[in-house]
Amino acid sequence: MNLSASIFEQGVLGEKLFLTLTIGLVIKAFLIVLIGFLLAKGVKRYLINLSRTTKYVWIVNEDTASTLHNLILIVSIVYAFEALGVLSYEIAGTSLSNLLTAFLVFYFSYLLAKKSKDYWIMRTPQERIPEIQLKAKIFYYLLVTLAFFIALNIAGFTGRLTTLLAAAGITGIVLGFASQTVVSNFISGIFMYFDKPLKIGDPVEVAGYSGIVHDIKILSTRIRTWDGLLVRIPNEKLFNSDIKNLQKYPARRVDVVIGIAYKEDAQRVIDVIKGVLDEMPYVLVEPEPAVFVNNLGDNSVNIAVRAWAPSEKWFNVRTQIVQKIKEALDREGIEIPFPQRVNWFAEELKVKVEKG
Amino acid sequence: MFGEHELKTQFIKVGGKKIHLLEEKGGIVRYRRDDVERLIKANDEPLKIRPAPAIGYGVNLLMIKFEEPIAVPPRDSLTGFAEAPIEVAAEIGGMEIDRFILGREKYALYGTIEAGVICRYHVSPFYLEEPETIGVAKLLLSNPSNEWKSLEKVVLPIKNTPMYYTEKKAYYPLLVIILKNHIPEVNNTGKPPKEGLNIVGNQLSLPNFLMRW
Repeated sequence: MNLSASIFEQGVLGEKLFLTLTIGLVIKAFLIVLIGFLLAKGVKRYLINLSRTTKYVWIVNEDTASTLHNLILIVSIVYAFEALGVLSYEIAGTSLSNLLTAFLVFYFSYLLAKKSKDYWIMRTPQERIPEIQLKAKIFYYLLVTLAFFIALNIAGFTGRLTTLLAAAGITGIVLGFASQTVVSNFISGIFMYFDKPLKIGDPVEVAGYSGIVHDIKILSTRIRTWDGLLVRIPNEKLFNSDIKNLQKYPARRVDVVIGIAYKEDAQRVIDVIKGVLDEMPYVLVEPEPAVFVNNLGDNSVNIAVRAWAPSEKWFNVRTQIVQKIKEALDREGIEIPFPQRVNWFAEELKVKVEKG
Repeated sequence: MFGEHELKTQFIKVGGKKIHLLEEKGGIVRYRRDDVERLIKANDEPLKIRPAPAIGYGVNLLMIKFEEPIAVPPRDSLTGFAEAPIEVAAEIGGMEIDRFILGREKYALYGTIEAGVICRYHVSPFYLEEPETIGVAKLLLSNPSNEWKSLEKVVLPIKNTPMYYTEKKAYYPLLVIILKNHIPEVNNTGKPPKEGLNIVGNQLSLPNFLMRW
């Protein structure tokens, strides 16, 4: 540093142009920008070339190349200004240029992490989205956290931060109590990641809500209900709730009860219903559907229908099965009775007929 | 039926389905099948009607259940055929414009409810001669063990499988089923079941499939 300072301040280079500004300092600033410019161009060209051959296009792409290019260029400009003495002010024991560089490194890293995350998800086939979405988020948070600490280091806060944290122990405890819900949600989020009771895209019933898991964040999980509302459930609440995952297993059973009149032949009805199920493609052959007389009700003989369907087709099968059975019973002339009651009178019922 | 068809007014029968091509003004050809309609700007490219594996709504496996289980003696083998469901893909210039299922569409859960897989399902007799059905799978059952083995169904991976065809029939690649241990092993060889067949896709074998359930 001293050597460079001496080179740029000797002889003609040390001549003052304006206030403290010398020819040497201007040349030094120019050289910093030039080196930054060349470095930025080199990095950009290298990354673009690499993006044509790599399979990690989600991170090595033109966007990343441009972001890094801009970062190097702006940081070199900041240091050029520092060389000119414009940014040689000290704030909180560190130079303004270091602060600016730290901010820029953090900001550009954040941009890079966000774009890479989005790009990764965008390029993923539909069926792998839940898994990749999670990986992309972990990558995003890791990069942002790493950038945060690198930025602290650049700003020269690392040593002081430790002291600061130690000194602020009591404040930490107070903050800890105040933020216990946040921490609790965060920890629950981590446990949820390992427990994996649900993943993005799963249809679920949880905490009194039913819908599709739209997003799982660090502190909360978002559910899109069937009628299109967004429900945000804190991870702690979710973790302590009973979660009903409607599509965790490959097959799910459709349960329907059909009431027929007492005068009907139950075996014939069972055969008709079995025929209907056999005609429906998404009613699974194995496990075999079960159709049986479930009970003798007040008004009807109740036939239970238990048919398995692929989980993703369950709703379609559920909606079609009742309609198709109704149509088949109508075709066969099988009566589905209305509620009926036999009235019995303790004394003989007398009817008075007036003529007139 | 299967093969290349000129884009001009004509009927093409495929199994029980009928495709209707209708020339209209401006070099447009209307493709019609059941309720499906497409408009195609005709050039020299022919319409290809070719068989495709029966993946249905997007399953990876096909289960062929035999009407009667087959018993194979120790260190012996048996070659036979089974009816197999197929789908039909209508393509132009490498782009699929229509895909439909021939015959009955049914599915079954292969395995347990917790860890099973949904697969296409078909019941077939075991034939010693090639059956007259439109979709055929040739099976080579091999029992290299020292015990009698019984087989009541074959489950095979069909996603990305090559298919073979003549003008009138579609064939799955030769399937070799090895009844060595207590878990039958199914090898979709990717090879043609007989000579003189046209191929759809590349002649590549699929990874061996262990029938755990």
